[in-house]
Amino acid sequence: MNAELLSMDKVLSLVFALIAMSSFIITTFLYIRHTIRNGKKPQEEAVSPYKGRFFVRILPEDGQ
Amino acid sequence: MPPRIFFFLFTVLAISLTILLSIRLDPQVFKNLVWPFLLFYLGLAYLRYFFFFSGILIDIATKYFSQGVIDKTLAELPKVSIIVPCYNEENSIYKVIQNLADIKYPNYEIVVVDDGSTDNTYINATSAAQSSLKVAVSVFRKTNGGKASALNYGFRHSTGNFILCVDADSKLSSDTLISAIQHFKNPRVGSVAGFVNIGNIQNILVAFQQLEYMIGLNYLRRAYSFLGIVPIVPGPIGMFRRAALQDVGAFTEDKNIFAEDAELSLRLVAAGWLTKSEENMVAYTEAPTKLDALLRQRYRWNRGTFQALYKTFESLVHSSRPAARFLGWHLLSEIFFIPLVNICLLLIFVIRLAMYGEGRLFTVWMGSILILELITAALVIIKHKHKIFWLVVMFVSRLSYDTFLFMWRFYSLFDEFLNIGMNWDKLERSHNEINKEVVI
Repeated sequence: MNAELLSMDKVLSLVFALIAMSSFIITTFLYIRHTIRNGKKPQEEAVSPYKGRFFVRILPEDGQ
Repeated sequence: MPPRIFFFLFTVLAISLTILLSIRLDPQVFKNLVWPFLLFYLGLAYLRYFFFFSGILIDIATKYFSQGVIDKTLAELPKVSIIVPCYNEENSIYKVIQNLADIKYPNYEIVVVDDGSTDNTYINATSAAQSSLKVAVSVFRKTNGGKASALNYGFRHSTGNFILCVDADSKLSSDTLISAIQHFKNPRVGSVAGFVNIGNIQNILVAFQQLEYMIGLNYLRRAYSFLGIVPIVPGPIGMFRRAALQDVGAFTEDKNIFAEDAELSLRLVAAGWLTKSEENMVAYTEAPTKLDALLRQRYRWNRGTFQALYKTFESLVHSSRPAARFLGWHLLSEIFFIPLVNICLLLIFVIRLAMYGEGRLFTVWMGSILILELITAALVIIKHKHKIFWLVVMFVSRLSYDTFLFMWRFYSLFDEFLNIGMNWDKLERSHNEINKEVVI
């Protein structure tokens, strides 16, 4: 019984380790890829001319 | 020292120490040192789940006894304005307006704000407005300024005392307004968060997300609702009292905040307003079907939530409301400390297993958390009569998707601490019909 439990313990450990390591490797790879792509992409400018203000200008088309 | 730098250095130090101690410590010393910490941490985890369970149960009980039957016979239901901000939604806007026009409520208007679209969104929205016979639909057009500016614009041009904000891809249940308005009988309630469900379950990745919405995002929100501190009134469906929005200055148009919904909700809580959730207020939304799109969405969510907390933390922890103070510290642990401790435990486990063959530690930890989450899932499945199949999905998700996403969260935060630039990355929609009849 103890031997069975022990082996179950080992199996579970290995399964969890495999999950942890594979998640870690995949995430790290994707993060590096994301960082490279993000670096290449030009940063969006703050397009709103009303930045920091609550009220916005009503355009001529307003309400049509 | 700026807080971001402090968080960065703290993280680097914690991880370095963990690696060093895991490699160098003698097995006996390690056992004496790490096991008590692990048991303490597990105790905290159980306490956290106890908070969630109690909150959920009390919220359900309170609702059942106080307002179990929705009062649909209110003599004078207050006017509600539904604001739909949109940008390049020419394929979906017509149907969205049609869906909103079918809501069962006697007194409401729809305000569509085209945020400078470069396609035919404005024309299609106008066409839908003209064909609407049951409800008044106003369509506005403005220069592109971001979602928050479009919401504020709609807010300014609406007339209802209650504002329902929805996304341009959301499909709402017809009881939404009737259910939500009940909460506002309490004058301290500033906003009500709806439940977001996914309408495009096409593959296992979307199924994992649906599970996450069902339990993590929707159901645990009920625990917060009990205390009136729902931290995120979600973009796809959230209702606000006009006075509350005016009180806190509506949505922030700060371009450095990528989660304007979370930021507003936290400001409301800090200002003393109650934020609640309502399960009968449901929006069906389209989730990313590909890993790349999901990662970009989550990157934005993770950093956005941290930005929102970063901006409101001081006002939360110095609020006169004890529940708001609790929320500030609680969110800091949820967003920063718990992922950090999880990463450290993972490192300890992998290093010790590789070097000393010690695996029991992690097995106990992972097994305990897994059991807790399965119990949570089971409660939700029983309550909503979902299929047992979702319990299996939960098991697989916990061992793959969740582990993966919490690491992704950690990397996102790392970028946030270093203040690395980021973009909005609008999610590409399939424009397929969202099927709200998906059996879950």
